[in-house]
Amino acid sequence: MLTHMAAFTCTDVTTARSSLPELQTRAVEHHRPQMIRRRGDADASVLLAASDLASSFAAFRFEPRVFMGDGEATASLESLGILGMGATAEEAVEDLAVELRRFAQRYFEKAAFYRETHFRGYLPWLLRFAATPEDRQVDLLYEEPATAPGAPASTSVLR
Amino acid sequence: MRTPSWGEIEQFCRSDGWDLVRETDHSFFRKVLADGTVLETHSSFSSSKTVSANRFALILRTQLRVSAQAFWDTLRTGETALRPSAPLPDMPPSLPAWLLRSLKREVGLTDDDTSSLSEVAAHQLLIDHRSSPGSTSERHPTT
Repeated sequence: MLTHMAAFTCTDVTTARSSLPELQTRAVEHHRPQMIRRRGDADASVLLAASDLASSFAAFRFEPRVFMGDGEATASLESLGILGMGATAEEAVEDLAVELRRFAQRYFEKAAFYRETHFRGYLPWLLRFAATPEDRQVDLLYEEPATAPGAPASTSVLR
Repeated sequence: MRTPSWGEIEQFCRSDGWDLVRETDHSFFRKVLADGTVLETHSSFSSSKTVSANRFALILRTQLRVSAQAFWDTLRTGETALRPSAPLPDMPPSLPAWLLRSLKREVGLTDDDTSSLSEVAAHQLLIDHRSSPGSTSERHPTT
């Protein structure tokens, strides 16, 4: 059964089971988020194209810092307590991306745990990172402060 | 600054009451503080290798959240470190990753060239380069 609530098209979970390919098409190809509900709004979820999810959080920028010296490099996202290490700056940032990917995986796998901790506030950055294709995640760690046309007017920076 | 081996960092975690969490491809230590703050750090490095001074400062500040004195006290006594532990080490000199890469790609600097630059000086170098008449630099797309 399809119903319409606010801006989203809503589908009950029974119908969604049999029409998931169609819902997926609407969400991905037509960029129309699809709400799926079992009993009511309290247990609703939203099917959204991963690219739309990532771009929705474009204002949440990463700004890791890189420490050079002693023939080695260390990249840091201090807010998350994550370090990447290598012989060069590039290696350190690549390693930081690996560590951030591991952290994001366990953050979402153990969401009930992490949402009760100080990491709860970092959800937008982690959603953006996780929704970005793996081969482009490291690019997020090199993003310049936005000055390009079309860039978000204001950003929240995670260092 | 006296620096530990990776094995001593693991020993600190064990003495300080961190839990070893094993995952499929790696393992790490985790400690949950009374205020809900979660600390996590690696456990998969070569245990005999000594950590450099800068990395040790970063690990103390960003992951273990204790001073160097508290770290060595815990290793010596085997007792849990007290937090908050002041003073945490200062952050070593650093640059944003995007700025470092732009200086290397556009200005032609090396890691060694950039290691002694202040952030203000690094920004100015990039601005000067991008605004110079002969510059063909373009911002590299990142997304």
